[in-house]
Amino acid sequence: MRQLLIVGSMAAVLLLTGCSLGKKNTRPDATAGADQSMGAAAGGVDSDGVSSAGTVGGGEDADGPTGELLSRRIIYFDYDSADIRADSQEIVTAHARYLANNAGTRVRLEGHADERGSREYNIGLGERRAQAVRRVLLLQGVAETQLSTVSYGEERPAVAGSDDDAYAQNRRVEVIYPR
Amino acid sequence: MRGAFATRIAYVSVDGRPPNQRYQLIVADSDGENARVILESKQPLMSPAWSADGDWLAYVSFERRVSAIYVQQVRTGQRSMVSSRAGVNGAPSWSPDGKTLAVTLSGKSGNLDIYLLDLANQSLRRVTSDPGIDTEAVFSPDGRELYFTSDRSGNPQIYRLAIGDPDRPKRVTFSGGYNSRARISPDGKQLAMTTLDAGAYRVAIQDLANGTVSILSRGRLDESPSFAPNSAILIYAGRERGQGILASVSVDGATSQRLKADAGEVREPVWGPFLTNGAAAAQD
Repeated sequence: MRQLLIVGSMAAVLLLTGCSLGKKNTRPDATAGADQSMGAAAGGVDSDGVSSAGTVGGGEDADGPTGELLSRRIIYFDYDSADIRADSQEIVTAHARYLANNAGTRVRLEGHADERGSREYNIGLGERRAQAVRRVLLLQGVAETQLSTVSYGEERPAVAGSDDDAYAQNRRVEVIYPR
Repeated sequence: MRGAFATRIAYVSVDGRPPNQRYQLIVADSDGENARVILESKQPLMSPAWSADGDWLAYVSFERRVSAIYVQQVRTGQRSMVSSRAGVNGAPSWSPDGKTLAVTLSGKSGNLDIYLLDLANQSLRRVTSDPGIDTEAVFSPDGRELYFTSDRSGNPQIYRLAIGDPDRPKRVTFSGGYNSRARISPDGKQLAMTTLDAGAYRVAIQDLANGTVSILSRGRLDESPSFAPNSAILIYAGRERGQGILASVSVDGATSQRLKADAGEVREPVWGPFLTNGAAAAQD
């Protein structure tokens, strides 16, 4: 992940030059709707996710540390859920914006689950999470050819441990920019 | 009756801390002795499944940084990749005649469904079509039905379908909010699964004739039950003090036992069939 910081700061420059400046919206009201719709998106409905997530991106990158957003490469999820949480929308949006502006860049979306329950079902949950992020990126202008997904289920935990804290860190999608 | 311990098990062993781990696929006697590594990888190995004749294992390997299904002849080590399609390639399970694998594929869309893969000609036949997660298929002993996990109802439950029958799959499990990874006893009478019981993941069996469910294990993270060929014992994986362990329990719940396992984290034990020749059969 370290080598990605350079990409992140380059992206920050691009974003700062490409976006209007404004006050950071710390109340994620605008994303609450998107969060709900992403729940439905797991079942195939994602049209609401487009506009809500797009709106968030427009306002929030502004005076925020955009490089910091792009250097955040992990999106966390609730138990048995593929809903992109309100607190992660701006991260996904920052990556969408960067990728849409850099059509030659490809990323790999790795979906993961916590260790509870059966392993192949958890592969399904990880895939569902990776697809939820993929859908948002596509809807925000990223090309299909820029994205690949893989689900590791519970097979590659970020941290060891069998407590809620470890589980929360392991339910995730990692956005991997290849070297 | 032939003894269950004249048979072999396969399981996955992992050592190292995330993210630098080493995965091994191991075959051992059913008491855990004589363990032999048949495959090693720096990327995850999972879901081993025995062919009905005990000659082959199917499994999932991420060695190419994506999931793919392989079959490997245990005696010779000869292996071949049989599915590496876009998206998920998972949950292989052999038909009783050894000609077909039930597999889970997602394609690019990421929707997991169950397919039958003809090993001779690589042809695929889709058997489920649902926007939920359909996975972990296993054949009934007569090969006519598939049991599988689906969250089409909102949470994972076990369903059954008759192969070639256009009727919708029928839900089999109704107790509790999480029932997954069914395995059917060789005598066809019981279904073993991972179930969520009072906040803990445990091994349970369900009587297929009358629907009675019994919880057989007492851990908090027990999973992957697999029947011995005599249908009387289950082997499963659990966790104790942060370590993956293997244990066995009789289907009446009366006796349970920890299996010998070396250092490292062990998981996904699968019990092989009676061997048709060699030392194991001679001990009948």
